[in-house]
Amino acid sequence: MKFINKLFETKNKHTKTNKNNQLESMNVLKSLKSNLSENIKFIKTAIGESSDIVIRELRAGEDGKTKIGIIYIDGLVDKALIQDSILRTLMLDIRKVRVESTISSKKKFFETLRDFVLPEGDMKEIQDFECLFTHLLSGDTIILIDGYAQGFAASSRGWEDRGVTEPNSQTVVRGPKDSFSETLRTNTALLRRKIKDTNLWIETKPIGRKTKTDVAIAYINGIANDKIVEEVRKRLNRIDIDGILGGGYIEELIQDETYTPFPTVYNTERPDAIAAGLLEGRIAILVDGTPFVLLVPALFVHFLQSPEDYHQRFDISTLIRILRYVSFFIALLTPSIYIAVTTFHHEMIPTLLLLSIAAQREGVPFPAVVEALIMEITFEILREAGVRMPRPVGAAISIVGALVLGEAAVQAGVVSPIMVIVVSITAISSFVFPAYNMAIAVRILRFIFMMLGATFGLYGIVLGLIAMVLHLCSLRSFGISYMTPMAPFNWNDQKDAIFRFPQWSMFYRPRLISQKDMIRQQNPKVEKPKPPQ
Amino acid sequence: MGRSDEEMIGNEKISPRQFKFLVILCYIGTSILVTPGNVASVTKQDAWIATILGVLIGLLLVWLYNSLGNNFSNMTLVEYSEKLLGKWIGKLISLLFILFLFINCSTLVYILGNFITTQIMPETPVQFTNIIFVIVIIMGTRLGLESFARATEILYPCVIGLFIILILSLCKDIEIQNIQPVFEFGIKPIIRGSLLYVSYSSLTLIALMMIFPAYVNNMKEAKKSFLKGTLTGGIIIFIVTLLSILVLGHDITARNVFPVYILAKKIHIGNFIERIEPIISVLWFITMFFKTIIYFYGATLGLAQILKLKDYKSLTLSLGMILVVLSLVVYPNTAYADTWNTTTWVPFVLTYGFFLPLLLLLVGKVRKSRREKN
Amino acid sequence: MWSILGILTVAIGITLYEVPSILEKNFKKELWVFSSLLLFGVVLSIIESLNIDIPTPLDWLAVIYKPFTDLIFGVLE
Repeated sequence: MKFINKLFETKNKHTKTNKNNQLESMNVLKSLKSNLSENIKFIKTAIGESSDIVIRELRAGEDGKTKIGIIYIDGLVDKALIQDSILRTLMLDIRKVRVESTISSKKKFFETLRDFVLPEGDMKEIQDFECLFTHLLSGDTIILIDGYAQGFAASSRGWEDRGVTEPNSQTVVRGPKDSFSETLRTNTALLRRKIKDTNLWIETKPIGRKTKTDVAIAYINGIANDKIVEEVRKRLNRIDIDGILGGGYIEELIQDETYTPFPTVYNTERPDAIAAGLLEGRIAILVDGTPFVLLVPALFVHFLQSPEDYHQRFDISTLIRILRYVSFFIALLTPSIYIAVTTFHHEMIPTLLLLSIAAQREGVPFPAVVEALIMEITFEILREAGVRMPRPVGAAISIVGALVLGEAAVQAGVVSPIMVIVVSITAISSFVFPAYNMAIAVRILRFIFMMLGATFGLYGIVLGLIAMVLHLCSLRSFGISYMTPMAPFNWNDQKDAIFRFPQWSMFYRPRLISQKDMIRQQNPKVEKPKPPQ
Repeated sequence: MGRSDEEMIGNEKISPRQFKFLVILCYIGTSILVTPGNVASVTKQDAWIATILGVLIGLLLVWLYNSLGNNFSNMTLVEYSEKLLGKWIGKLISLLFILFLFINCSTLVYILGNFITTQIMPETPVQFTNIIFVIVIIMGTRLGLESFARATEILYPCVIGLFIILILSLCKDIEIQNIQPVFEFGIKPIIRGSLLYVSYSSLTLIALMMIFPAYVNNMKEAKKSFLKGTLTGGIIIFIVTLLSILVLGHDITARNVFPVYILAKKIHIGNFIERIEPIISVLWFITMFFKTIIYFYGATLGLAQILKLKDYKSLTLSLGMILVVLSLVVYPNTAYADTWNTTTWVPFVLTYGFFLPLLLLLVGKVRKSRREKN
Repeated sequence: MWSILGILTVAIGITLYEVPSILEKNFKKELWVFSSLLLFGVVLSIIESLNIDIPTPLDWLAVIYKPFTDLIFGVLE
């Protein structure tokens, strides 16, 4: 609480002219008054005439002399809980307690209520309006007692939630099908279900001046690297923004480098992926209001791994991972190699294919690079439209897109058939990535490589690749070099980078992330499972 | 497995393994392309013997560099010469060394540009090839030593992979009689050939003294890496030269500027994998790139150290511009390049690759014994 | 004509890119060195683009090293 006060005090120096903050500055200085009606009047002024706030005044005690005010926001609370636990207790059950006898000492009444009477699980005491409003707007019920400059905030959160459903983005064939939802508490609960260790620590803080979004850091103490945890805390504290509406905001504000297309923060909807990351010593950042949880530090190899890899056998997982890396290069380089080879290096194509390509390109008025650009941009437009279009129209548009644009364009002689093939292969390869943000990086870089291929041929493409490798090697994700474990090379970590070795052979956690508690499995000398003798 | 990983946050040093890759790439940078032609023109079919001799000489040179490196474990060559020889003489010698690095760098850019515009893309004017090459060099230098050292860990396996493809695809074209007769002309041409070979492979490793040992972890491992790298580089060049003689014969090898490219042209698998030499040339792009960036980094860092600047990054763009111009100017034509490379180049690189470290070593010893006497 | 314009544009671009970061760190020496090198580079580029012959430093080196060259290759002949 003091932290929040300090935060607001320093802000007052910067925002003297901002009228909106006048109210907040008043809050810091104002603590609760003893008079209930004054408190209620202040609350009404602060919140305006918002129709969803409910203020209920009641009289409690044996002879009904003590006035109590109940304040909550309709829609954020579980009304049944308020009726049963709070209203019923204060209006009916309290009559059984001999209140008047304890009223001689003011403090004792308050404590009696808190310790003796109210059957509420999570209760906090509040002394000033800042705290009051935070709790009120989070869905807690405020209980104010006439004659006391303190109140209670009883937890009564219960709003409409999407519930735990299937993940939309990273689907797997085999493995758990639960996904995070928009409520922070549900998400932390899902994590706790996966990791029942006392060392799983969850720290929450509100971020965002207006939204006061709850952001939680989760890590396993003893495995996670303390320096990185400290770094994450530091960067989150540094955030000073109006509102956090989703993980993406936080990601941009805490990542190491801004001028790179490659993502340095991993995000996912799946609790099992997050739990696996936590077990490796990484840190999860959960944001209230979004089901996508961030995971740091995130390295290049992580974006080409899918949770599915661990739910299937190691041989198919290794092959599919290699396929993903191949798709990475296909999605990145196919259009540019096509342009380079047809423009500069004809001798590389086998003769029969060369004749066929030449025949196809005969009728096309544009040079290869213009053709490629037209097709690629058209495909990007189709892709964006596909995401946004309303469902009834969806099927029609995709037919239009595929058939009309592709087929008709070829018939009209605007593009050659082989260009359509190239673009389709590229597009399909880019869907292989389990992580959407890596696919975005590839989409952007593809165009740069096309330009390089068109001007300097294969030489340009190779220089572009060298430049890309240099850039990747210079990136860091929270202090750890992005291309670990490929560069700097680490033998042990290779077991889970491109290949996936069987579970019984993964003895150690990734080296550069966590330096402590390296042993995953109890006995490194354990051999692989043997059939019974 | 030795502790060859970097530290986590805030490191300025590279690991011995990365240094080994830098050594190999610097060693084979130009030699993998020009050695067979250059040496075979002098030694005919005994060129492969010359490469063996050259590697042995190279290992001795690296032993010299290692001993020199012992005397200063956290200074670069430029800083050390200033410290050892006094402010003015030291700075003068460092300046000459930096000029050596810079001029050599421009010849490297010229060689690559020449290769591209004669063999791969004749329609492109050489200015543009050089310009984009230098742009990537500048970018790599600005990103820092750790970045391009890490890049070697990713790109070196590509080089080896392509090399193995080259070797394996040509095994069927070997004709043993091309090596014979062995020792036809005696030992003298072999010595001349190996001297030429050493001049642009091992002697050029002196540029690495701007990185070793100041920025390499673990001095002992670093020295071993220096030797291991030289040996590996030597083996690669030996194989390439031997293959070139065996497959093409010494005549074609000697006549061409880039006989290894002709080797790549000969790759013929099945009926559809042929004329894939542009893919093999990726090998040379990578090796030339790293040799050039090592030289450019050395020159820029050295200049910043002489002038006691706080950061070398601000110099990269201006020096890059001068580099581009110099690369277009430095050799008026290929014939000039050939002559110069086989005559003046040898004593030029000997001065900096052999006499300079020897001088520093001796002066260092003298100074130490004088200090111990007092 | 165009090449001179191109070179000047590049030089201006380099200046705009590099100078703010030098100035904010207040590196006086760097600024001098940077400017003089850039000037040298621009002058050289313009001369080169006008196809005027620039003498190559290798010529001077050949002259300096002539006695050594003769010595080495005489021994090995």
